[in-house]
Amino acid sequence: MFKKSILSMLMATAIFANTQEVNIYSHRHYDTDKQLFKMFEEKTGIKVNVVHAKADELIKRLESEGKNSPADLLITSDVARLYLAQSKGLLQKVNSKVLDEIVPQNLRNKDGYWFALTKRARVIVYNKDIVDPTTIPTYESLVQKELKGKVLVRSSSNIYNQSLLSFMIANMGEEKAKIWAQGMVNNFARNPKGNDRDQMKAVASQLGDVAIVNTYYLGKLLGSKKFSEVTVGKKMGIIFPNQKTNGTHINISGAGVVKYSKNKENAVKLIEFLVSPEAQKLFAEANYEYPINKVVEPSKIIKAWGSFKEDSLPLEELGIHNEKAVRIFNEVRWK
Amino acid sequence: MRFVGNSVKKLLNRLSHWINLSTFITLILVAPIIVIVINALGTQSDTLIHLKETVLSDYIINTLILLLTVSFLALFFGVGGAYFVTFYDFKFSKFFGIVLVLPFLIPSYILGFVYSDIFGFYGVVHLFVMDMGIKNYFDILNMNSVIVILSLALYPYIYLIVKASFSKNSSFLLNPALSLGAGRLKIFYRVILPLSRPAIIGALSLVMMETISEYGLVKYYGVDTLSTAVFTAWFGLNDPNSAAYISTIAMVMVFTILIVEKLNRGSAKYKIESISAPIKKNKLSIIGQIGVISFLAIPFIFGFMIPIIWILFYSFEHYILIIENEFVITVINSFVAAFISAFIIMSVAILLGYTARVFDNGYMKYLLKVATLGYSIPGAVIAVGIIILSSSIDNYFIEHFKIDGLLLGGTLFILCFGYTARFLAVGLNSVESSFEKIGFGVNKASRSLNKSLFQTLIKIDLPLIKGGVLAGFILVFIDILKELPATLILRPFNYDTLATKTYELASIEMVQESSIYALCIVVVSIIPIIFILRNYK
Repeated sequence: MFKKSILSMLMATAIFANTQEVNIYSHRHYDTDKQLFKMFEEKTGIKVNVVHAKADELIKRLESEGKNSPADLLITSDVARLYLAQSKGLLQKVNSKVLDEIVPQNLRNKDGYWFALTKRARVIVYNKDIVDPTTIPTYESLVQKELKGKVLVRSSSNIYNQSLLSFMIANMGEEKAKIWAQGMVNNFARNPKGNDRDQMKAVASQLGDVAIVNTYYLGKLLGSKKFSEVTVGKKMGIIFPNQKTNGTHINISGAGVVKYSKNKENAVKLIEFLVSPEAQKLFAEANYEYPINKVVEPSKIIKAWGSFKEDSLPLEELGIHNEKAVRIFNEVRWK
Repeated sequence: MRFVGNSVKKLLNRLSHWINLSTFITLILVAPIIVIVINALGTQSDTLIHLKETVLSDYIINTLILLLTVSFLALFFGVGGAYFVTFYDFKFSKFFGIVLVLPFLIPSYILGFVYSDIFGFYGVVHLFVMDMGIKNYFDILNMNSVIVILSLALYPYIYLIVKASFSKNSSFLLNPALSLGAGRLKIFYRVILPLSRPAIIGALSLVMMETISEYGLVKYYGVDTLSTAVFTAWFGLNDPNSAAYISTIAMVMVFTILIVEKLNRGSAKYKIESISAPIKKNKLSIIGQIGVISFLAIPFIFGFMIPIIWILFYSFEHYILIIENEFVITVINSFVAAFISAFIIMSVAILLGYTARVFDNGYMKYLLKVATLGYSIPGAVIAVGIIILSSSIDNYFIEHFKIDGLLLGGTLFILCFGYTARFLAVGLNSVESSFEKIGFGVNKASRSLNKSLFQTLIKIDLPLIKGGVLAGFILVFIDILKELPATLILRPFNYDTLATKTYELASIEMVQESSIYALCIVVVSIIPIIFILRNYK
């Protein structure tokens, strides 16, 4: 068995040695991505190999493989994980005029360690039948007494929530952020559980009034083939919080070239392809994410929500405060 | 005299090879765990203090509640089902004999997704209730649901193992007891249960270890257990030491329960040289039949019927996925990895089980327990242990022998090793209980005829436990088909299995699209499982 696997490995390396390839560790599991990789292969003749797993585990894998890692590109669905990889010295700088031109400055690392591929906002949704949206203009207003027992959100082990709290820490300081988190817990309609869609279903069922979700999940409900999901989606109103102050919290899915990549050029080519208009269009249409390429418009469903003011915080900050955020979650018992 | 002394020495030498080999293999299998524990031996970190001060006690309590309730319910369905099917004659008894094992084929996280889709907000049941004009509705995402779902997913372990033990062990004692006029209930408590106790405990320990390492379901339903804590510590707080410490708590829990049971059992041995004769089944009255059938229908309907109808329904909607090339490759990948690993696991299980049988000493007993530790640790944790281990080996080879590329990392070999380290417990359990059933007489007889240990194993013991080995093989095979977290981390590039596809789709909230892959897990495993039920009674 062992001998055989060595043999097959050697054979595999021998075969791959001559072909152009790029090896990806990715946390994104979408069919869209697969389609895009196929398009890239056809266009460039560079073979794309992928391992999907959770970002944390992929980063552990990169770490222990060290300079012998076969990976060229790390793709995650949250900036905090990209930052983690960067701070562990697992990524390298990339100089690409194309990327610098297309990817807005606040959506990429200033030294080129990572670049955004898509953008999403973490927003407040509410039950249109019972809530007056003007009473909840900000994340901060979610802790008001009037919402006691009415706020729904998923668990704190979820990276999107961790990044949201990091965002609060960056904007208001650790102490105030903790008070905010405590206020949220006090207002919970139930202990956090389920995914973002489940929160909206619970809001539609009036288990609570409001929920915090990522924009594309609402898009997916509205675009669903299932009638009941569309019904839920239609009951939701959307609030882009903090429009009069710092702006709504946004997050990205993004990519960084691995430090010891053996196919750096191909990896950069792939990122450049993924931010190109044709790729961005697919991201936007199939997955209801905001494109980061200005030339491409968001999908119809998303466009209907209108444009909004984004928070301009350097995205690194979300990574920097991640561990603090997890600790605060534990301290205030945000499950 | 000297001649005799020498040959004894030689004999001892030769015998100890078995123990040495077993020790060596066990060490390799637990190496990933050792790596993790070594990580844990770091200083008392402030992460751990933070966790202790905040959430750890809640997590421990949740884990204990789950352990107790799931054990109880799984025993109730598992032992109850095995008992009625084995000792009573009623309508559909053959049917239930087979279908009661089927919930085993559906991964617990799929069961969780299905039930939240059916009973959750805006699921079919809720829509119906709303149509009736009723406003109040319950939230299915809670601890009670987890208890029920996990029990449904896990009781078949107990059912399968205990049923085999009931029918093998009991006939020769049951039939005389019956003819002596003892009551059925009395026989159950006084004869059948004590005889099957090792089998029940063995099966129960599998259920408990699965419960402790369960991750996907508890996370989705918002129940935090030690396995959640491991992930928070390791990935959220970036502290592998604390994660290892928490994993150790989980292992200690399992060990404590097993030791308590050992002490309780005392020195009594339940090995029997069995000669099986058909069991005289008790015919039930009509009311009795209705009662028994309703009891057996509950786990079957909720553990299999409802979810499979749901899965079939959505599979039809998404059958188009099957036509894709990728689907076939996924099935082949799953099959190959599961087959190779199950083969390795059963070979190791036979080696270890046989060595423990021949050298019936404390050392081997503990060695066997150690070798099965992997089952109580979340798959992802073991996988990370393996990654750390394999990369250091890879890096060593690359530096010293100038090999181009990784020998171990990201190969099928490493994936199969991961499965072996994790699922040996299941295979070993079948082998051990088969050995217990055939007794030791045949083995002794063969060796008194000057046959070597190996010859005896091949010629005498193996043929006798063939059925048990096959059953173990299939259990392991199905477990691997369903395995998720370790597969995600360890798999080679472009390598999808049925479980990873199911989960990937479900995790991006495309549960319905995932149904076709879940269905495929069921279809691939249903034929072998019915096969063993028919041939291995």
